[in-house]
Amino acid sequence: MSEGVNEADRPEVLAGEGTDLFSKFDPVITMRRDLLDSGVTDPFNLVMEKVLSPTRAICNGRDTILLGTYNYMGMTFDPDVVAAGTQALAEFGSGTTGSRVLNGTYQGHRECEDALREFYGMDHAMVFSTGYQANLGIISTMAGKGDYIVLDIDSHASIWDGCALGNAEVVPFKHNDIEAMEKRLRRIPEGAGKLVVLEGVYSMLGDIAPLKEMIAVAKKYGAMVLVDEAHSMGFIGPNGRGVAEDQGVLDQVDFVIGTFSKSVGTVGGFCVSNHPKFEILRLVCRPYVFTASLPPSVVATAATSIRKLMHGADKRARLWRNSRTLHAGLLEQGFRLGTSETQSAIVAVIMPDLERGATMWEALLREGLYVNLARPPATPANMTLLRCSLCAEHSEDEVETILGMFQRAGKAVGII
Amino acid sequence: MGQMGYRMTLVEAKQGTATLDMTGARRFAPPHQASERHAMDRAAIDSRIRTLIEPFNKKAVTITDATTFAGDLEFDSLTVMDFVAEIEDEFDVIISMNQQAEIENYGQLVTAVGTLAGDDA
Ligand SMILES: Cc1ncc(COP(=O)(O)O)c(C=O)c1O
Repeated sequence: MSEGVNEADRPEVLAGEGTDLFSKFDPVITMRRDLLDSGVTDPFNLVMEKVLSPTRAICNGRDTILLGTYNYMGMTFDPDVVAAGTQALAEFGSGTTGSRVLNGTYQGHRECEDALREFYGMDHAMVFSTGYQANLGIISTMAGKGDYIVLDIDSHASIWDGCALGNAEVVPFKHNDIEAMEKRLRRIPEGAGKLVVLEGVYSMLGDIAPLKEMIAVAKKYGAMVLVDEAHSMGFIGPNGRGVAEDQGVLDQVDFVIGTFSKSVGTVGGFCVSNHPKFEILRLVCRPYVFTASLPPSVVATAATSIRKLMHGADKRARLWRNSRTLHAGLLEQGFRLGTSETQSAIVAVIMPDLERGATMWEALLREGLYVNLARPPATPANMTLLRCSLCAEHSEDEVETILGMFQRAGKAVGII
Repeated sequence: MGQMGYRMTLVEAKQGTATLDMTGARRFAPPHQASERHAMDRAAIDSRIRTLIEPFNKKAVTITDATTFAGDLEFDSLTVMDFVAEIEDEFDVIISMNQQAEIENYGQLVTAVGTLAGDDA
């Protein structure tokens, strides 16, 4: 912690022990202030003053290229999507003011679920208010007392929180380690229910899971399988259904979880499944029942976007081209990346430490580039990462510009 | 940003309020009460765990039954995962996070492993 001039400004709360219920956050407060005291712009308090397109916004008065928004397919300004939302807003109003199981299911919610069933080629689809709630709801409801959840240690917060909300035994295994997963499944007592929870793409490093092997093992031990495909929809797999489809095992997956907040370009979450009893979840899944449904405009934009993603071959090709160009370019410049080859549309640049990570983040912002700063404890192995997510709408020129920005900033900060 | 708590916070470890597990598992339900009838010999389990913990005991802390993982040994979440995996493999047991949440110190771990391993025997 730095000393001197800042001392007087420090709030009293850090002084005493057990002052009040906020005291447990003192270490986070200190960590955050130490970072800001070093003079960097607060990386977690950025405001987009204007959004010009899926790839550009005005931040701090500067025209900024967006490279950390998960807006993979660039659907947020698609004219058909915007028109569908505008029309629904005018015809159905600004919100449903109700739960899906009471007054909150409009025609648009049904149409959105129809679009999902078609997109995934599955019998059932359930739309939640966010992807976070979809994981929360399905995991906590499916795995009950006495059941076992076997999950990857690098799982997303919403998966962990789904475990915490339920009453099942929670058993994590080392990231993408098939053998570690099998050992745990083998040791589960006979007769206990089992749910294996995996992700297609892991969003911190942008690496994909060996789903084919892992799902085969899960099935060998009689487990049900849930795969979160948040970061693959629309551009991985022959029909854009995700990593499980790409590896030919989608028919073995009991629950696919997804979100509208990335490729689809709006907000919302979902679960699709072929299980014959799936529909009962609408009555027993608390994060589905006890919250208001998505506004009509949102489900209208989602349904339109999902249907367009079924025919998004061009966008898909551009997204992969951009991802490969950026990945190869950054490697060549000497940056350390999360994966040695392009596995997804996420390129994670590994920073030596939080301080230089934050400095690099700020240097990029000054250059006119927004990336996602991820820092411990949110990251695997307590790494500091600059996570870049590509968009189909980034032009080839923009990707070259981005590479130039990385090179200048990286040299200035002394990382390359 | 929502990433806080994607994993667990070291904050909990530093404060010494965390149990063996630091992923928020304290909110999980308590573990099953397993039978202690066939409990393995405690001294034998203790010595096997003592060997396993050595590479994780970076500061060479003297380990007693009261030694805490988060506080005294300063285990972070990754260390906890690796250490638990070693014990699980050695004794061929599962120590779920729910069970980990009840284990704060070394003595409790030895007891828990004795119970779990004894159950199978
Ligand atoms: C893997 C994963 N699952 C679930 C979610 C939650 O999605 P949503 O933003 O719809 O809540 C996210 C994104 O934040 C994610 O990365």
